[in-house]
Amino acid sequence: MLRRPRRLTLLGVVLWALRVGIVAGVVVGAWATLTSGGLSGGTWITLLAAGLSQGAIYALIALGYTLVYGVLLMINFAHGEVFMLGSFSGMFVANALLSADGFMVSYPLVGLLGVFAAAMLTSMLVALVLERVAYRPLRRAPRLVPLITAIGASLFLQYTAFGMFGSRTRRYPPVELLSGRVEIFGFSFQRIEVITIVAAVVLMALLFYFVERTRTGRAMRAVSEDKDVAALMGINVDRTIVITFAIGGLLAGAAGVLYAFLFNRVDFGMGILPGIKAFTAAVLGGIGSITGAVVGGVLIGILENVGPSLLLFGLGVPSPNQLRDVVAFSVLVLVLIFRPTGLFGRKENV
Amino acid sequence: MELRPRAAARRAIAVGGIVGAATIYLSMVGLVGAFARRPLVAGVGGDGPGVITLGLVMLAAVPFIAGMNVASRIRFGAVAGSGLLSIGSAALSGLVGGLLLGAFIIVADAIPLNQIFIAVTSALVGVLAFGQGPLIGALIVTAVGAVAGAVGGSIQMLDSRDRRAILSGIGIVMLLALLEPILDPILDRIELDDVRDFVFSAGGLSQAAAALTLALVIGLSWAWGRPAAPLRDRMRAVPAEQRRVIGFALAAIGVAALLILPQISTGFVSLVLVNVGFYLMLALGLNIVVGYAGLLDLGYVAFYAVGAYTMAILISPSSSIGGPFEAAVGPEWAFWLAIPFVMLVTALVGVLIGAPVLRLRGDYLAIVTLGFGEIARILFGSDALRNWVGGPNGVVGLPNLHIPGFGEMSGPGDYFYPVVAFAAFAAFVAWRLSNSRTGRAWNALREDESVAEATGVNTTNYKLLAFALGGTLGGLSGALFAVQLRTVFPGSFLLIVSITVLAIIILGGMGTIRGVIVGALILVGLPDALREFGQYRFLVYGAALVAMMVLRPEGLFPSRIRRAELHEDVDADSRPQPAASGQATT
Amino acid sequence: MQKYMRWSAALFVLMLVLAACAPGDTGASPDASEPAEESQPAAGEDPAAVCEADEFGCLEVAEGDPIRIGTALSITGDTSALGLDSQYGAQVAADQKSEAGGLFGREIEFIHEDAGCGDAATGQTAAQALVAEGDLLAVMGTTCSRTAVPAAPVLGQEGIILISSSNTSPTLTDPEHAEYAGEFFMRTAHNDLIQGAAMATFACEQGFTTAATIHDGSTYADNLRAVFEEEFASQCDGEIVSQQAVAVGDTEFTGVLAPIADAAPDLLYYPIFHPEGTLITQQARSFPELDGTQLAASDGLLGLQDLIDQAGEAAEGFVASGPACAGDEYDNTFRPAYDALSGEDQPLSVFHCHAYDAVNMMIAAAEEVGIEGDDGTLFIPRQAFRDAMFATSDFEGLTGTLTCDEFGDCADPAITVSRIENGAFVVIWPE
Repeated sequence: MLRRPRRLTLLGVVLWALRVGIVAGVVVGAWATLTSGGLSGGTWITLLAAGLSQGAIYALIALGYTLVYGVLLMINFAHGEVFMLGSFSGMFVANALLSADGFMVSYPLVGLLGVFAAAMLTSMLVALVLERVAYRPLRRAPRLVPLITAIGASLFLQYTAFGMFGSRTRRYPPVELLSGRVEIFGFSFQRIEVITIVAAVVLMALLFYFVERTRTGRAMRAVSEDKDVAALMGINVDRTIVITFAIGGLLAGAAGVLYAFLFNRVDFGMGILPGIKAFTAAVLGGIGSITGAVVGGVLIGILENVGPSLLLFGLGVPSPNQLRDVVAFSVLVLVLIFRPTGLFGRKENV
Repeated sequence: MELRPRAAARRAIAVGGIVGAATIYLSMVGLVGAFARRPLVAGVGGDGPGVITLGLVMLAAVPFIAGMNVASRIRFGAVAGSGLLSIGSAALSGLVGGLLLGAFIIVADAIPLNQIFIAVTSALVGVLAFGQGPLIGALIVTAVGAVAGAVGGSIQMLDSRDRRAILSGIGIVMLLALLEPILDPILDRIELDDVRDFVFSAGGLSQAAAALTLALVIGLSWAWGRPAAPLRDRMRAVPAEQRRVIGFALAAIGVAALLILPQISTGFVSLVLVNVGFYLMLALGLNIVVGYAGLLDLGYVAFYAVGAYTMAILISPSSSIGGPFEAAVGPEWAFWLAIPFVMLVTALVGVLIGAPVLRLRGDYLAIVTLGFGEIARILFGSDALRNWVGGPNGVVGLPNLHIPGFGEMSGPGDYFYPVVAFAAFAAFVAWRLSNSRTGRAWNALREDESVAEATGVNTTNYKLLAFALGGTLGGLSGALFAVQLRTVFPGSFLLIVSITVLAIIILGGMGTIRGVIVGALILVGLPDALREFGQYRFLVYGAALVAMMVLRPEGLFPSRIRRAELHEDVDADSRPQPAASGQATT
Repeated sequence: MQKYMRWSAALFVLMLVLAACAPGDTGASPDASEPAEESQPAAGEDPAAVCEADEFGCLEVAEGDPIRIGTALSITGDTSALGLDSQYGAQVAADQKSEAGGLFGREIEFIHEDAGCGDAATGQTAAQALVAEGDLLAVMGTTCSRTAVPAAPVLGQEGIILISSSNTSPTLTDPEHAEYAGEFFMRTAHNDLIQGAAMATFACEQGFTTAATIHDGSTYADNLRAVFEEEFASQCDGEIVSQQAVAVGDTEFTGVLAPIADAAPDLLYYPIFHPEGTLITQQARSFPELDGTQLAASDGLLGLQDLIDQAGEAAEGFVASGPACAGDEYDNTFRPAYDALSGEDQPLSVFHCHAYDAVNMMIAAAEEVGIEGDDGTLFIPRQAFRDAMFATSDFEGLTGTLTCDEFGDCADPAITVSRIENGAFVVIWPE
């Protein structure tokens, strides 16, 4: 597409003003907060730790988005519900194990593995059903159609969970192994935060290995490069897509368990906000890029936790933490306006 | 397609599996339980056993529709008795579905599933088993499934005119029964007690009325449809000019009935219609953005909020700036003076939202607008802005709408009229726009932006115009919502509103006004009127979106253009392809 | 084209004209803030005359028919525990009366509508649905104060009382305030002016000098917080060192707790609901600086088993203010019946006693003004019923001694503070 010759339009001026304003706001706010001395160093470490662990979870979910976008060029809006349903099934297994003569207490590690397995399997199944029922028939439809379908599927799954499991907020049973605090480099962190980060890193490493080293992984990369050429090369595109959804589902299921342990909360709407934030992370990092999803996730987690206090506290904005979601959404909006390809993304016609 | 019996049986069993899964799902998610409380046709002796409830109908509808589907797809060619074989396949699918549901009943009775699935209570099992024990219930269910399938299949075997007649009959009876909470009070109000007692009993249609309606509709439909039907020919023979007049007269009667409705009905019905009116205006506005210009906006609720808050701040004496308009011209004129401001502000917001996102397409545009909508929602309820918009306490104490010279509107029965008037105005604006030069520019923009740009359409301006105009209609709706409720709280402007409005235009058909009206009535009016729906309405929204996109993306009442657009690839496939490279349509 | 335009314009005008000429039997009604007229029904008097004289006419219940009471509570969603709690409490009262022979020999039947909590519009819809049901003695509701604002006028216009067991916002009974719910709104729940002040008094008596507050964006929490802050300052010169807010649905509160931890207040007051309040209680324990801070909340979290289960150890020492509802009658008569309805062994919330008292008040008032006709039809004049309800004084209920003031506040102003000790709530104040 031919680039329009640069003209000084009103729009251009406004966008420039917006850029300047945001940078100025960030700098001024941060400066004001840091010089005010209202928050101690320990506070920032706490916020950072929280941001890292949440960011790890966002990264796991974001990977699902980015993988699917890579092969299908569509946003799986219902991925948040894949995450939610995995969390629920993990909860049921955990409760069952707990009541089964305290299995969870005696063999916590095995019990946890069981919980993870259940969650990841459920999420995978849901993702596969979604692909088969809602997305595959619409492979060649105009781009808006699968998006709307995904929105509908998201709503449908949410309220299926509402109908089946009720609207009350539930929780995972407490597990000794995951509670309490640990000391690292002289700082005290919540054990569950550390475990979340470690678990996420392990899963991401597995994913890296899979995508880089195995044949199926190579097939996935090929399909995301060019679907038709990959088909010509003899790659079974349908099967590859199915596997992509499956992997995304597995990761989301794991994220569901970690999230539930971290926040002690399971309910039918739990997938909406993390879903959008994870999608923001994927876009921030560059949709289609695995590294991007990881980096994006961590960044969003940190921005969300550190941002409101850092930027708004000094400016005297009341209750800055109420606006933490605004930070996430603002990042989403700004990235899409100013740099839609994200940090690590490929240059592509948006 | 022609099939051997064994393959046909396999196909039927597969469909039966889907039937079973669907009915089990409906039970597990609680829809059957909720709808079992809604009687449709009263049984013998009032409300004893034998009441046909919505739950039962819903369950029976699954094998019925599946049976129709199976019979239409599985044919046995010119084999003798092939019709019976088709019906047999349909029955088989229903049987299998019923068997699965029966198995579920037995399992649910034995194991306490409601630790996990809260809807699977012993009460539900009782409902499913028709009040019998689990084993007998399973047998009954299997039989019912088979029968429903067979009936569905038989109906499919009839020729299309007869089929349409019977289906319309059933449909109209169902509709009448569902509308009982609206029609019953009307009959009461206009004191047609004899009619009322005859038609409605025990919360639903009486058997006699159901039978009568069924016969009437089938008869009429049949008489209309049969070839060489004298009635239809007579109608066709009427000259075009007269037909238009008759059409007008019918429309006028319809409108008059609509306008009299609040007088003869309850405040609740008026409120439902007012609510439909709000969503209708929202949908008309979003239709401009999504349907005409092809810009998927998922943050449309922001305009609703801006309109409501602007109106509230300007005219409520207890708002942050003291309601200057109300102080200036008094409560009678405050609303009307504020309206142009509301329109201006929301148009401006539309431009502000549209400007940064001009370069974005499709998915990304949708997500960004979603972000905007959420940011707006959070900001309106936040502490940071509470000095202007009231934070969690919102803005309260709005004066009522006054129609100058005619007095104050109080209660939904009164508000009905201005809401209808504004909705008609919005529809009129949308209609004129669609047929104008702007509308054609939007068409071009929607179909292919690059080409439009190349042919000289100023895409920037038209996009902004779409946001501004669409936003204005949304803001108007918000302003009306604010005065009707007389309070504005941030909790009314959630993401689900945007999605509901989207569902309305998707279901109804993007780009047509008729479709939007039908969509609003179905998706907002029906769940409001049927209190049993409750939160399940969102489940229906989601299912409707998915179903529509997969089965009929152009909606129920599409414009010809849209239908062509959305089936472009299908048509393309059926035509012989020239040697072209794989060009994907956007 | 022109024809269409002309037709549309004509239609538009026609609609406006119709609106004006509307006889308004579904709409315009006496303004709810007009002073009420006292009408005295005399026993044995001709029901027809009494009903004629009554501004809103009579509720007529034929012989053998049940007396219907509507409920407009939040029975789905996150606040469903609060709504169901009131619903069961009301049911216990109705069942008791039925066992004792019934109200004028009739059973009490409830018509339930979901009034929701977040969106005020659902309150309006529920109220309208109940009006459409017709023939209701009164309506119990709503759960969240926000939904009462549009609901009360709708019912009031028909002369139907809306009595709430859990709306605590002070604005609803403040005639100076734009949110005043009118002459037909009353409540057995306490006014938050009292509850917020009680917590402030408690804090002052404990010798606290600094406090921080967290609200969740709801009118309820925001009002409570505001009242507390004002009272804390005026009663003992207490200082508010940090004010924070969260959003319902938030799960991570480090960003909120960190600045509070830095300020290390004596008291942290978060009058919000489950699960946010529960999570804050848990997460506060991650901050060593907050070890010396008294965590305090209000009746949204009082007695909540979910809190005890979920927060576990972290909840030890947590206090919450709220209405007092205890005693022998409560333990021995009320609770077994309530537990049978709820299916749990712990109450869902703390407003069930208020609901119980509300229904009993209705029964008492109905017995006072109801007239039985010769054919067995029961007539209850509405304005008289309303006046009898508002005239309730020294009424012995589970929540204490209730006396209604002219604006509808009936609650016994006794607020207690309870602390979680060894996994159970124990009343610690006033001693």
